[in-house]
This record gives sequence, C-alpha cells and structure tokens, in this order.
Amino acid sequence: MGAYVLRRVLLTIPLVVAVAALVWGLLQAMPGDYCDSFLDPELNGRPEAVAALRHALGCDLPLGEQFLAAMRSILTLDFGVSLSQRAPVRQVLAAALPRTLLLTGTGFVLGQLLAIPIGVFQAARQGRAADVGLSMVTLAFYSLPAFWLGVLLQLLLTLVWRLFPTSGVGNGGWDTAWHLVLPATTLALASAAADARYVRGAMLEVIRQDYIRTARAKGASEARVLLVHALRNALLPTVALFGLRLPYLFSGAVLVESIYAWPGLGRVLYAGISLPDLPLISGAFFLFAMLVAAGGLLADLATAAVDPRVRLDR
Amino acid sequence: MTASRRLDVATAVAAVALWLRAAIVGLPRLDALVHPRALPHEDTHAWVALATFLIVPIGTIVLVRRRHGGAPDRLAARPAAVLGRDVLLLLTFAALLTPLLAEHTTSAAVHPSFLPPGPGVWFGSDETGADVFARVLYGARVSLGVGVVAVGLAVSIGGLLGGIAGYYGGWIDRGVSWVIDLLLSLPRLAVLLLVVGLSRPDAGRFLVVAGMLGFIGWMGVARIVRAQVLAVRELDFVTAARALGLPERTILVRHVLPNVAAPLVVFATLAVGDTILTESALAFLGYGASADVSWGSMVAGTGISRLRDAPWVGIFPGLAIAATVMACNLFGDGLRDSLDPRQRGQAPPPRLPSRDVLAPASAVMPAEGGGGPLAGVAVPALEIVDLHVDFDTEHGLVPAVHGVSFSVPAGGSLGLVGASGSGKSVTAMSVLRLLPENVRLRGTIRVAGVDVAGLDAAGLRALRGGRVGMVFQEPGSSLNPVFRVGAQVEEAVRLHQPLGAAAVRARVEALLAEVGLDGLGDRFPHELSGGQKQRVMIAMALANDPALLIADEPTTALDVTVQKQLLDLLARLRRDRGMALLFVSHDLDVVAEVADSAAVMREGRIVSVGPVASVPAAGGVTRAAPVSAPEASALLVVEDLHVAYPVRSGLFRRVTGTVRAVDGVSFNVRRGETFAIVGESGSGKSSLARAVLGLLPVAHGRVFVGGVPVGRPSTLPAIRRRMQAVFQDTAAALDPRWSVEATLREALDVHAVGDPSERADRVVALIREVGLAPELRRRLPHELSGGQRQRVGIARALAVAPELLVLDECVSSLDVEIQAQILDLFVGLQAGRGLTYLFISHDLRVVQRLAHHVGVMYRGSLVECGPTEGIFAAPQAEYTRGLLASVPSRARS
Repeated sequence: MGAYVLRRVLLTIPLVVAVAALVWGLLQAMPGDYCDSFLDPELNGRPEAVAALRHALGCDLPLGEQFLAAMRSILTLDFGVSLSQRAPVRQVLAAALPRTLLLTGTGFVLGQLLAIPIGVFQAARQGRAADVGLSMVTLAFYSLPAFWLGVLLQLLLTLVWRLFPTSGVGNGGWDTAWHLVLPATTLALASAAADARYVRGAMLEVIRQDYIRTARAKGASEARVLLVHALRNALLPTVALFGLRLPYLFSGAVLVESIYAWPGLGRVLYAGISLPDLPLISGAFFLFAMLVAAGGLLADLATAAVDPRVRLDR
Repeated sequence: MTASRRLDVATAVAAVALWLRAAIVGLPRLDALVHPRALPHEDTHAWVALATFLIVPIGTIVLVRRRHGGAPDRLAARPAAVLGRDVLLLLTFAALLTPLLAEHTTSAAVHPSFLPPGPGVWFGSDETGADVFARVLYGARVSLGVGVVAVGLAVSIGGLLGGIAGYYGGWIDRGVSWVIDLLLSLPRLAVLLLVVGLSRPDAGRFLVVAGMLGFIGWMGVARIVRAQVLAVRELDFVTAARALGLPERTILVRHVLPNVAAPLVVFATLAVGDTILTESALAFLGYGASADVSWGSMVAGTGISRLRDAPWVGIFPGLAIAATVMACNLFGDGLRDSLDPRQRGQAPPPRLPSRDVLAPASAVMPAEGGGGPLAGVAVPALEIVDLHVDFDTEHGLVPAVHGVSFSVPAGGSLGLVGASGSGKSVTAMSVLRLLPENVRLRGTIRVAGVDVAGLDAAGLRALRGGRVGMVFQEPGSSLNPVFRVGAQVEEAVRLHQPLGAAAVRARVEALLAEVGLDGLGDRFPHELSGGQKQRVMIAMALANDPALLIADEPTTALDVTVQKQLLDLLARLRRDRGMALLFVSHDLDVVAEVADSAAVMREGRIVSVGPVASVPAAGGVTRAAPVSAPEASALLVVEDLHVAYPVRSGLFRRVTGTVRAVDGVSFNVRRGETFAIVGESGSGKSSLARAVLGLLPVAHGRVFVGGVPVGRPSTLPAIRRRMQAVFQDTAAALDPRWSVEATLREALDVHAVGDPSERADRVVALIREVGLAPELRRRLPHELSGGQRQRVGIARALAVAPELLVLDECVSSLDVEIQAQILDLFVGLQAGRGLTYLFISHDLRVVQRLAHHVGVMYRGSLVECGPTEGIFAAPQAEYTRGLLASVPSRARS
C-alpha cells in the first residue's frame, strides 16, 4: 500500500511538469507577442522604456531560455503581476481559490447526496414505473445545458420570486452561505443527473453478480443486500470515476461563477481571457489543472483505501 | 493479379484520391453552411466535403446494422430510441432547409424589439428586433455542424491512436495512455476558452471551435477503442486467425476493428450531444463557433434583467439545445442497448417436447441413505412434488422444469445429475426461491415438512442460510470482494443467531477450523485460492447447522486434486453432522463420491433415479478407444523447450525476474498418434501449446514439425499449413460477425487451397466432414450450439489439410454427451486423414479415451511420460499417483 501511494504520487510529477509546459506552449502559440502583454499600456510610445522592460522580463532571451525561465516561475507558482488587477497573480489566485473550492465542494457533495439515493432507488425498482420515470428525469437534466439551468434558476428565484440574492459572494458567514445556495444547487443539479445514471448502471451491474445471490442465500434482507453488499461494490468505480469527472465539475464552475458573479478561479480565468491578461491566465489555468490532477490523485488513493484488490502490484 | 484487375485497383485509388482532394479543398468552405445563407450551388468542392461528412457516419451505421443482423428490429422495439433518432433526422432536415422553413432572415429589425410570441413571430423577437424562430433554426446548423465535425475528428484521431495502442501494446501503449491521462486532466472548458478566446479567430471561427472540440474529445474515443481492442485481441478467434497464418495487419482490419465499431458508434452518438452542450457553453461565454447566431449566445443574450421581461428570447434556444442533446442521448442509449452483446442474438430457447420422456415423474427416493443421528425420522429433509418452473420471457412462457418430484431423507443424500440446460440448477435454486423475478413456480416444495411457497419474506430469510445452506459453482465470484471472509461468515451467523460479540467470534473461528481454514478469517477473497474460497462458502452455509445443504456444481470450476479434497470434506461434514445433502452436478462420477442416490435429469424431467451405482452414465457415452498407433517417424519434436514471462515489480515496474511457465520440456509425437499433455491449471500446459504453435516467444529450446523448425519467419507459411489448432472456448473461437462459410472460406483463401471457384464446394465438403448439415453454412456463431461451433472450429483447422492438430482443452467446456460426440469425431478424422494430435487437457478421463501417449505436466515440467495404459496402470511419479487418485473412483473402475 505504501509503495502504491509513493508510486502514484511520483507519477504525478511528470504530469505537473507537462501541464506547465503545455500552459507556456499554448500562450506562446497564441497571436501577439507573449511578452507584450506583461507590459503596462502606459508605456506605449516610449520604445526605450519598453526595450528596457523587455530586457528585465527576459523577453529578449532565446526561446529555449525563455522556456526554462517560464517553467521555473510556473513551477514555483510565481506567475508575476496581473496588470488588470494591479496585484501579484499569486495574491489574486489565493483569494479566488477558496471560493471556488467552496462552490465546487458544496456542489459536489449536494450532487452526490442527490445522485446516490436516486441511482440506488432506481436499481432496486429496475424496469418499473418509478425507474422509467426517474430515468427520463435524469436524462432530461443530463441533456440540459448547465448555464441555461443556472439562468432559469436565477431568473425565477431571484428576480420573479425574490428568495435569494442575484449574485456575488456576500459578506462571509451566513450571508455567504445564503449567496452560495443557488450557484451550488445549479452545479449539483448539473452533475447529479450524470452521476445518478452512473450509480444506477453500476448497481445493476453489481446486482447481477454471484455474491449478491450468496448474500440472499444467507438470509440477508433485501435492504441489507442492496445497501451493504451491492452499494459498497457499486461505489468503488464511482470513486475512481470522481477523478475523471473533476474536469467537468470545474468546467461547470467556470459557467456558474460567470452567471452568479461568484469571484472564484473561473471568473478570474474568464476575465483574464477577455482582457487578455496573460500572467493571470497562465496562473489560473495552471491552478485549475493542478486541482484536477490533485483530485485524480485523491480519487486513486481513496480507491486503493476502500478496494482491497488494489495493491502495490497493480 | 491480372492486368485488368490491376487497372481496376489503379482506377479506384485515383478515384479515392480525387474524392479526398475535393473533400479537403471544400472543407474550409463549409464555413458558409453555418452562416445564415445557403451553400452556393456552384461550389462542388464544398458539396463533396458535406457529402463526405454525411456519408461516413451514415455508412458506419448502415454497416454496423447490416453486420448485426437484427439490430434495427431491436432498435424499433425501443420507442425512446426511435424518437431520438427521428428528432435528430428532423433537426438535420430543418437545419439544411432553413431558408425554406423560416419566413424571416436572422438579421435585426425585421420586427419591433421584444415582440412576444404569436402568429408569424412564433418564438417572438429579441432586443434588436430579430426573429427568434429564424435564429433558432439557423442555430441548429451551427450546433449540429459543430457536433458532427468535432466528433468526426475525435473518432479519427482517437480511433487511430487507441487502436494502435491497444493492438501493439508495449511502450506505444504506455506513451499514448500517458498523453491521454495528461489531456484528460485538463479542464476542458478552460482549454477551449484559452485557445478560442486568445486566438480570436474572425474568419474560420467555426473550424477553430469545431477542431478544438474534436481535439479535446479524442481521448474518450481512444480509451474505448484501446480497451475494446485489448479485449478482442485476446479472444481465441484472433489467435486462430494468427494460427492460420494471417498477417497482423489483416487481422487488425478484418477481425479486430469491426468488433470495435459497435461501441464506437454508440460513443460517437453520445459524444455529438456532449459536444453540442460544450459548444453552447462556449457560445454562452461569448466564444462560440459562430459570430452571428448560436443557441448559447442567444441565451446569454441581453442579460438576466431583460430576460425577466422577455423570457422567450432565452427559453427557446435553451429548449432547442436540450431537445437536440436529449435526442442524441436517447438514440445513443437505444443503440447501446440494441447492440449489447448480452442481448444479442438470443434466439428463444427451444420449447421442451411435451411427450413424456422416460420415467414416471413421481419417483420418491427410498430412505436408505445416511447413517447420522437423524436417520429414520419420518419427515424428509427436502420433498419436491410435481415441480414446474417456467420462465416468463418476451417469447412467451419457456418451461425449464417439467413436473419433477423427488425427496431427500433427513440425513440422506441425493445427487441431481444432468447436462447444462437440463433444469437441475433451476430445481435446486427453487428450493430457496433464488430464481429471477420472471420465473413462475408450480408444485410443492417442503423443507423438513414446511411448505416453502407459504413462507412470507421473514420466513424465507429464516430458511435461507438457517435451515438450508447453499454452496454455488463459482467460488471466484460468489464471495463479496470488499469484505474479509471472516466477516462474511460472521454475517451468516449474526443474521440467524442472537449471540454476543465474543460468542460470534468463537463460532466463526470454529466454523473456519471445521473447513480447514484456521486463522484465515482476516483475508480478503482475492487472497485465497479457488478451493479455499469454496471452503469459505461451505463454512457460511454451515453457520447455522442447517438440516439440508444444497451444493450446486461446487467443484466444477476447480482442479481435480482440489475437487477431491472438497468432496472428501463434504462427505465428512455430512457424516459428522447428520445433515442431508442435495448435490447438483453434470458429472455422475463426481456425484458418486458424495451421494448415495442419484436422479438424472434431461430436458426438465427426471429420466432415471436410484442408488448411484445403478444409474447409467449420462447419455451412454461411447468409449472411443484409440486406434493403436502405427510405428512411424516423429512428426512433432519438442527439444528442451523453455517459456518464461517477465515479472515486473517495485516502484518503476522493472523486470525483476521471470516466471518459468515451461521449464525444459522435451517429447516426440509420432505421425498418426495422439499425444496428450495432462496438467492442472497453472501447470504450463497452455503455454506449451502456444509455444508449439509458434504463438509465444520461446526462451530456449526448439520445436520441429516434420523436420521444419517453428518460430522462424521464413518457415512460418509451411508450418501453418502443417499445424493447426482448435481452442477451448467455442463462444470466443469464432468471429461473432462472420458466418460459418466466411470463416472457412478465409482459411482456404489464406493458403490458396484449390482453385477459387471450387472453394465453395470445399467449404461444403468440410462442413459435411465434421458432421454438420451444409444448410448451417450461412449461420452466425451465436445461432449455433456449443458443439456445432466446436465442429466449425475443427473444420477451420482442417481447411488447410494439416498433418498435426493442437487441441487445447477443446472439449472441456462441452457437456458430457457432446464431448463424447466430438471425441468420436476426432477418432474418425484420425483414422480417415491420418492426423496427429497434440491433445492438451486437465481431464484424465478424456485423455484415457483418446491418447496413445501421455505426458503429465506439473509446474512447467513433464514429470512423467509414456504409453497411456502404462501411466494409468502403474504411475511412477508421486504427482501422477496423486492426480490419478483424485479421479472419482467410479470413473476409474
């Protein structure tokens, strides 16, 4: 187990380096001089000052050295100064990160609380009216664009019936929780449909297994068969899948943050792209990718912890 | 190749090249499609490109449907899927015919601002006064176009990379998998925003967005294709194609990729929906595929506050997205269900003949069994009277058990014997009512005098695991993989006995000790061997001192020595506990080891019953005594053969050692004789077979067939013609998409046997030779029985007129009667064609019937080798003696 953890953690390192290189490569490949965006627009028309700054930023170095310098700064999380926010990128990200984690974390937990009971219930009632009906509902929600759902919720619950605040993050404590309700619900509804479909499928797969028949032959009640013997096995692939679903969750966060003006990472990235503010973009993008990588790592370790079959030799 | 044929090929190549060029030139001009104006009629290239995009998916669907035979019917049986397909077709036509359908253009100020929906202004107007209906229709062009183009790109890239990674494996696979993991760990929407937002394409925006969506979506395709190729690659029909001598590339194209196509079509359909969703999200954020009209950007529209006053501006495009994506998902789900191999080609099971077969159905067992303390008690442990079991299927009621009656006296034992499908397991399962919900039971089942049918849920639970314990066939899958085995035994105790924690623990330990598993309670199932797992199952079944133990083929999946130990254990437990036993098996010899009486079932009825010794062997198996082998020269020579597999371990998965699967084996097989290799699982006998066939790299040693060395590329064609193989798993040994005729034809074509014109006749002759009716030649494998499939496998091996056949466990998965017929066929073929067999088996009884010489294999080595009679009469090696002692005594006599 210890060796498995170490191996899995070590495997993440090349991934981090590759993502950093990818960020640099993507920004290099975009039109416009990468270095120019680091420059203050007020310097326009003062070529000698621009040249001095370009030299200070290392923009006159050969591409290879620029790459090494960029890698060094990205991997040390030193992304430079954001021109639009007039603050170090690291500071901007540090403020946005907890808000995004709060939003995605709440949305994820809410989504699972919806998805798992629905999926289990459907599997227990396979083929009957309740299952067929719920299948259509989850399929409908699965097909809805998350942003449209967000806009409709916002329209109904904040403008038509003034139940919740329209946007923003509130002033901490209960006020923030109050502001969190709609964005987190949107995110939860958007992801719960896919997860419920998955849990149902996994449960149906498990229920067919021989050990479920063994549990019944022992005299276990139907509830015990489903909740103890089947669910535990059905959730194993779900935990592993969590790592794969994280990118979707964060994609949803970008949309939801933009609808509800929730000042998280997604909004930082979006604002950076529309300006464009390259230091901000590279920082936010790298952080997003790292969050996903960390989530995948956690999911794999969690799977190893709950599934006795995953061992160091696998 | 004749000159005219060469000309045909050249023409075809030129035509394809011209077509590709036109499609590529026309591709950028497709941009015109998504703008609110029609494609210019004179732009041939753009039309060719469009047609290409339409032909590829439609062609794939048509191909898959054709190859799958009844797939469209099964799709038609799913109204939701049909609805999804029709909505998609409707949307496609609406998108193509937009100028005819929309009364207005998409431009601004055709109406006043914020006109509510009404006649002529079906979806209202937006703040610029544009017609929302027209814009939604034009938006369909963008969304569907993006979906099809992006998924087409993703399928091309992913299919290629996934196929290569899966088929070739090794470092290519590791590299591709790593790149997939890397790209999957990127947040999709962020990458798209970054590229589309920063590149700010004005011209060709559609292609940039669609291209990026395709590029970001190929990993899913690659994963599916890779996994599928990995699975198909290991199937026996691919090995058979290799043994036939087909080049690797041909195998990939003919046998592997077509079997990957079905899941790929499903995935692509679902991916179109997913891509449309992502594009609309991008458009919502302002970076969609079209600068003019797009569903996503229409929702974003003018902002939330004005949407309150004119909700129609945002609601209709949102509904359009939802409807399109849902149609894709419905269609994709329906396709998946109808292409699912588990639901495929299940012909309705044959109805049972209604005539009475043999014995009267009311044979009650004489109470002569059992010597335990409960013997002589009047109430039998199990009494079944006139049991009927029917399966309620879509083809109507299918009977499985047809008026079965028998009883097991308290402390007595009965073996229920029959071939697969005879209804013996269904009968056993009905005692605890463990059958699926579509089963209809009639008749009486009494356990210790209590009518099972009258029990409520609580009463049934008390019966299951309480008065009746049950052990199943597959120990590997019958234990819950995530719980320790001790906990699983403990659960069985706790469910029926209100004991304290210490008492429960003591009970579990006692039970595990009783079945010989002291101190192994904290192991997980995967840490135990098959025999140990079956012991855990027995401990669980005994947890509450049942009056009756039902064992359903408990040793079928186990090696013969392990089987012997378990049968001894069951016999001892029954004696010690005075417990009644119902033992279900296909093997009368095994039943004779544990049961006093036996009832033979066939086609849902009991056909004979009585003391075990008096029951005739199933189907009156003819002992196909081997024809005495002629004194002849050696055809197959194996010299000091070694096969080794690398073992990887440690942090960096370095090769740290080797497993020697075959460790210095030498033997000769003379022309016209049968040489059998006998061994238990893991003995290396299958590795030996594959190495002889030249399908596994040999670490050391040599193999000659008729003096020609195996394993050199130069001698390969000659070797393939001289040596062919027949495999164990009849379901995997034939390509599921190929008819009998096509399979045999391929074998003839590869080695250019005879003139092309006479090959059709040869196919018929081969089919006849293996004892099949020529009418079967158009059937697909799933339309044949296991025995028939094995005959086709034999015909394929015979097609190239080989001298030597390697038979790898090729009768092991067949019922006893079919097994006997196939063995007869082998004997007949040997006499007729003078064939030589290398026969690999774990089954000593089969070997005794067929082989002239036997080699006993144990841990990679031949421990004993000699004439069959000698080995069976006077085994020299200790391992051979143990192996022979494990054979049920009835079979030895």
